[in-house]
Amino acid sequence: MLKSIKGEYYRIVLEIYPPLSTSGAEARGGRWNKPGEPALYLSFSKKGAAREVVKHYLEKTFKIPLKTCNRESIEKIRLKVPRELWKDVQQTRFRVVRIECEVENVLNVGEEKTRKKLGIDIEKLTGSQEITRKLIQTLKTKFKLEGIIYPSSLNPKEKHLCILDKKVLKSGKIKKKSSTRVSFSELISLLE
Amino acid sequence: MRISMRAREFKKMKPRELKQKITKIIEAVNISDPLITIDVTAPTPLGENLSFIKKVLMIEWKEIAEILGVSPRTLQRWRRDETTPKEKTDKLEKIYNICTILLAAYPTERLRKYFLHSPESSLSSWSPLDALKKGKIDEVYQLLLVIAEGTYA
Repeated sequence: MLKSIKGEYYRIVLEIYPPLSTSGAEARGGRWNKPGEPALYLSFSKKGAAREVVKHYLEKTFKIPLKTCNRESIEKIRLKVPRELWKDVQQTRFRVVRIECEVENVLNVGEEKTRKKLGIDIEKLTGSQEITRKLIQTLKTKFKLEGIIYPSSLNPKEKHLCILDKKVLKSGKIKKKSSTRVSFSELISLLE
Repeated sequence: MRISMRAREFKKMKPRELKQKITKIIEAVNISDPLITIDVTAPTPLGENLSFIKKVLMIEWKEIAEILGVSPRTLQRWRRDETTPKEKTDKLEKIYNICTILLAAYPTERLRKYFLHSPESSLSSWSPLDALKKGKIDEVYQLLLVIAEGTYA
């Protein structure tokens, strides 16, 4: 069930933010880590990373919850938000960071056969974070996991990778390959 | 990678110690023949940092004193670089970091004002600015980190 992976993944951050920083995930916790535990969340595609960043940016800025994040749901927000604020948002700059990773002991719960073997259903993976955080504790002990591949709760067809192992996070196995500056509207166009 | 030190620290240092420090960095960057440059820069005066905080938060000095938990008189001395803070430096650094992310996330005053004054559920429905005044600095910082890096749910 476990495999080693080596490949390129994506992360999108605010322009001034350190591309490999784990501060945010460590401070608040995430789907697979509790507050205080470092973790690096990456996506298999630019589109997947853009969907997560755009969702949180819009939710936290305009206080409108988004169950999903696509062109249609963004258009609905655009119509609710004062026109001048929407225009201002276009000035925010992000960075699309391409990251090369080499990680061992990775579990892919995006695969149905793996979920079957472990007795996990997909709703558990995309539901409450309390459940996934508990689940990862068991999996970490059982498999000495360094990372987990999982389906995005915003679009289960998209996959994310979470690197959990402290040693791996500090090692040279995670490298920034390139970084491209993008505007907010360019991020939205990635979602097409 | 970089070494940053004050001139008085440098003066106390033995040449061998400095060479060892630089050698460590050369090994860490793992490039065959890296270029070593030495910049001598003045540290940013505290007054400038405080002006940056005021510009980003768009509030009065007395409100900044309230957020930092110091008297307006103390803040005035810091602004004029007459004295340096012996305490509250952590708070000051966190607020500076908050402002750096805020400015990048919301580059226009209008958008920043909107964000700073809108109630936020993760801050017990306080607005980020009110939360800062209530001492919820870590919570506001965490909220901004989510905006800066997203969370891949």
